[in-house]
Amino acid sequence: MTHFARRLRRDVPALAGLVTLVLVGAIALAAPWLYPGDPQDMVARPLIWPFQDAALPLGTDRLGRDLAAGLAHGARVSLLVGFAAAAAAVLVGVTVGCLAGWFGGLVDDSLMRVTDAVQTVPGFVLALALVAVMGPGVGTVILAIAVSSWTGTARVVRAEVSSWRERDLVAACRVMGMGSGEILIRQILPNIASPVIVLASVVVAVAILVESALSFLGLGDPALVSWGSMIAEGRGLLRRAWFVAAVPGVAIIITVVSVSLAGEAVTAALDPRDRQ
Amino acid sequence: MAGSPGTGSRGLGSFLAAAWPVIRRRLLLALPVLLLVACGTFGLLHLAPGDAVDAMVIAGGGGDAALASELRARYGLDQPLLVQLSLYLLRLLQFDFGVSPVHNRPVLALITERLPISLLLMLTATAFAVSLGVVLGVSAAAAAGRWRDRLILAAALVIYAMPSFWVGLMLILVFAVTLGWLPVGGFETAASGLSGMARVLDIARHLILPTLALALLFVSVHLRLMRAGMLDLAGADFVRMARAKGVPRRRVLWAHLARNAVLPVIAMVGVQASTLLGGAVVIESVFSLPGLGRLAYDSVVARDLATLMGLVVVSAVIVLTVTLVVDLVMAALDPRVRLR
Repeated sequence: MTHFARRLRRDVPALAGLVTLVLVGAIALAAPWLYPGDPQDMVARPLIWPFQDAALPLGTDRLGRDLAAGLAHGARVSLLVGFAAAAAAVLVGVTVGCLAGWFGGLVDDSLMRVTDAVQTVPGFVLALALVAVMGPGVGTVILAIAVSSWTGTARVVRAEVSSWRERDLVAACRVMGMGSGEILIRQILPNIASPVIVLASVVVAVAILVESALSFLGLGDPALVSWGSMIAEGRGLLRRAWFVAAVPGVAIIITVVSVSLAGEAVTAALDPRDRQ
Repeated sequence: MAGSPGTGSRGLGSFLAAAWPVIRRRLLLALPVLLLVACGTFGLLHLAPGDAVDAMVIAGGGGDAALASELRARYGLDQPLLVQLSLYLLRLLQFDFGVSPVHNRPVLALITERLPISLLLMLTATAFAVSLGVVLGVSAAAAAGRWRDRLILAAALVIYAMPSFWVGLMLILVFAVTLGWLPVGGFETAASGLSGMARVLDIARHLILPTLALALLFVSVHLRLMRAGMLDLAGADFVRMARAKGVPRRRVLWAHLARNAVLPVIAMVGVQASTLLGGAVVIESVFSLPGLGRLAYDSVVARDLATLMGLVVVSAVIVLTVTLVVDLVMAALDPRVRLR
């Protein structure tokens, strides 16, 4: 822990990213207390510009809804979808990568052809197809993003595992009588954690962006406010009140940048080679 | 010989012969991929509640059960699943993607009508992203560690985090709504009666903003790759040799370093082909461009699964084709690829 803190103090951008991400997370968790009630309710006169009214710091939209309340509640959807989809994608990716890299041969070939196929279909087109088949909803969005984003992790883990398989460490473990599962999980996985975490942070960032695009197109969960649906709300107002579309976009950018920076921070902290 | 009509084609012919191993490897990889994608779309169609006949009956405003079962027999929908899968694959082999119950037209016709617009947008965005990415990457690498480098890297980080549809809206806000320089959307001015060069210019004006919005993400990817490639090669023997010979700094940077560092960037264009096509889907709906993206969006809203699955298969074909083209470009630029 002290090592982590020491590294972070040197790396200001990573620290800033981590702090911002924690802050966005705190706002998301606290949204029901910060802004009780439905963020879809009208609270004031429509189209109040930001910084005009102290009670409504970010102004209101076409229906007089508080933009700040929308952002806070939208953060819940963005972060939930981002982290849940990434967790599922990384889990599938690590499993597929381990199986393909460890067993090689036919298992490897068939798993890699499936990976090729999923990677060949544009993730967003695949997500659209899944939404059309399953109907819109948070669960569909999470599944759609997870299905299209596990492939990168699978490839990296496969390459790492197949290179580790040939090393002395694994031979030594075998002599000690360890089984495949134990070697994979207790010996190899900890050693390849840092590229996996870099990838995981990229997957979270992409998942947040894909969720916003789906809900911008009106294909997210119709019952929930999300940053993408708020931007869609502002689309028709560019001429009269551009801030309605601009503000949620800035929230997405801040969150995604801080996810990327925080990913670097966690990687640096976990890298055992860097530890003295 | 130079300038004689035969030279070009014979040159291309011998190049293709030399690059044949590259082409063959790609085609061999493409076959199982397409088969799996087709099986995937078949599975998705079966997961969905209702089948193609239900969709037709609903689109036709309801119908009787006898007609529905007759249609099912005609399309083989009453057969066992494995037979249906083989029938489906056979139809795909003949480029038969079925009929869209919403448009009441063959899916293939719907797709081929809209394909050129999406391909054009992907092409302009790639050209822009690669050129700007290369220039910024070289510029950052030349100032490695100094403020210009840091500024470019910070910009890359922020650009990567911007949702492309939001960038599109902000570009519309600035250049179309506020300044009035460029059109808000569409592929060309409706009923303008323009032809020839005037029409080309009109289309180009309509494509500027969508191209920018789609390309920005890839500018960020390419510039980081270019910068890393330049820094990797900076200590290579041929670069030190050039410096020792007294080749001017700028020339070393562009003629020696950049020419080699650009190869991974071009390879990246192939890797990113599927992300690019996915991005085009969103951008087309922001700028009301009547391409594949619009078709995909309309199909989701209308639950037109036949068209949507056709789009999934066609986009896989597009991505595979782009990868093959990028491989050939790599083989043309880098003899090592041909010899591999």
